[in-house]
Amino acid sequence: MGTETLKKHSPRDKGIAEWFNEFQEVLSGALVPRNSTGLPQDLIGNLGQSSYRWLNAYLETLKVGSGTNFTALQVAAAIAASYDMTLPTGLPAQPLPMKMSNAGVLSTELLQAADIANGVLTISKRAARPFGQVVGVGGIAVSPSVGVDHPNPELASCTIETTGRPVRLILQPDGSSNLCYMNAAGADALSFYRRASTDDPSAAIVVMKPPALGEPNTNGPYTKRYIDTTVPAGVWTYSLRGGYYLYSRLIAYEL
Amino acid sequence: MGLDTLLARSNTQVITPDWFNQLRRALLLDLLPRNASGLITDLAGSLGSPTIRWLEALLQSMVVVDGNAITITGPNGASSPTTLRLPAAVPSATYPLFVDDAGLLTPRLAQDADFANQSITHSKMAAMVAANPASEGQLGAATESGAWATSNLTPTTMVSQSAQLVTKGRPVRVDLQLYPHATESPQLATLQGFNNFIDIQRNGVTIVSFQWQELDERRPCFEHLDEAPAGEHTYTYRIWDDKDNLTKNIYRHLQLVAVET
Repeated sequence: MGTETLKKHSPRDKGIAEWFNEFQEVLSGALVPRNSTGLPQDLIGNLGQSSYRWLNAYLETLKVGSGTNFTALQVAAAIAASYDMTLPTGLPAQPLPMKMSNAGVLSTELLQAADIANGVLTISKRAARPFGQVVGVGGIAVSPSVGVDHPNPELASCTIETTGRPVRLILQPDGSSNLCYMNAAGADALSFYRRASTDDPSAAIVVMKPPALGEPNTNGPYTKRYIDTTVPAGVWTYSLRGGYYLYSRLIAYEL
Repeated sequence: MGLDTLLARSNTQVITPDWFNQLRRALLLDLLPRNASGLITDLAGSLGSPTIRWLEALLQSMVVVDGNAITITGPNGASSPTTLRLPAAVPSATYPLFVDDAGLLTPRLAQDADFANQSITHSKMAAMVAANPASEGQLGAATESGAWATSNLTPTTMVSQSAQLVTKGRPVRVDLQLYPHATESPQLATLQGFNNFIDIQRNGVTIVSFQWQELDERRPCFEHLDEAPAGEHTYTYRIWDDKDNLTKNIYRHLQLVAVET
């Protein structure tokens, strides 16, 4: 590498061979930037300009950075064939994964299901499912325990936000030591109801209605299960109406 | 930076210091490409060639200009030198790029370990619809059983009320449930009998049998978690009795649904 200053010459100067040798040395080995007086200087010049670009740069390693901490860009040790790699067309609005196409085009975009290998995601990667009487998407809605006979229509209700997937409804014991119990006599029938959470309770529709029992009967609440396959995306309040039930909770969660 | 055109000289010309000063100016500050006539020209040349490469280019930033400019810089405050290695080849399709601890960039499908624990929320799940037959991830929902029917002594598989789905090997939850009602209706689903049986079958083989013994006990929802292998499965049910006509099952508006958990 020639690190000497490229001297400016005047008509009085002599020594033609030395002048040539200066250029020979400067153009041999590492080529470094020089200031306007011909002195090598860090960051004093560019390789090309926006209107005078180099066509290609053939390098083994591109190092970008400063001081001693450079980021080096190299090809993998075993490159099968030359390929072109095209940078993204713009910056994303937020941090995003980078993808590479079979044409070598880099892009930034959200991962899709097709970007994930089949059968690899474990349950630990799933977000937690919050419990509560009112839950958002992915939560498990749980009604209060019903501890009195003949509740009002919305006593055992819970609200869940859904994405359009089927919703599973379960009436199950509340876990206390009390005897859970349900009883639907005469014309009564314990039915699952659904309404938009913003609607009046009177607007609820039946999503599952079993037959009325012919006589007072006691069944464990485990007999109440239903998959609501017709619920669109939205915020829904489910309730259990009709008959009597004790010490039970209504649960709703999206499959 | 010298913007001079580097002129060729002829044998008869007198060498002057300006010849060297012109070359000198060309090597100061910005180094620009020139065409074969010595004129500064955009894209007229390359730095190195495919067979004669520069060993390294040490830059504060690299600007790739094709219309608009893209500037590539090193990270601010890097604590140590880093080497990024480009992929050995372009992928066969579009894949995410991953960088490993050796700096190798690899396009590949994402694996479980690429995701933070508890990071995938329910909203990211694909839609699930009820269909029959159902493809992977969908809920297989059979047609309902219709109006009143009565069981026989001979088990009869209700082929027309089968729920079909394709699974990846996760357990399948099978429910025999009441058929949905959009509004309150006289079409109440019912299942009643005495000392009678319901079998749930997968591909014609019984996987679970339920029996109930009390007259008028209505249990219109049976459920079973089936450890089914991956594949295409057809779930059916059959209702039958083992005694006489007085205790036959009667049922209406039942529906079999199956979903991979």
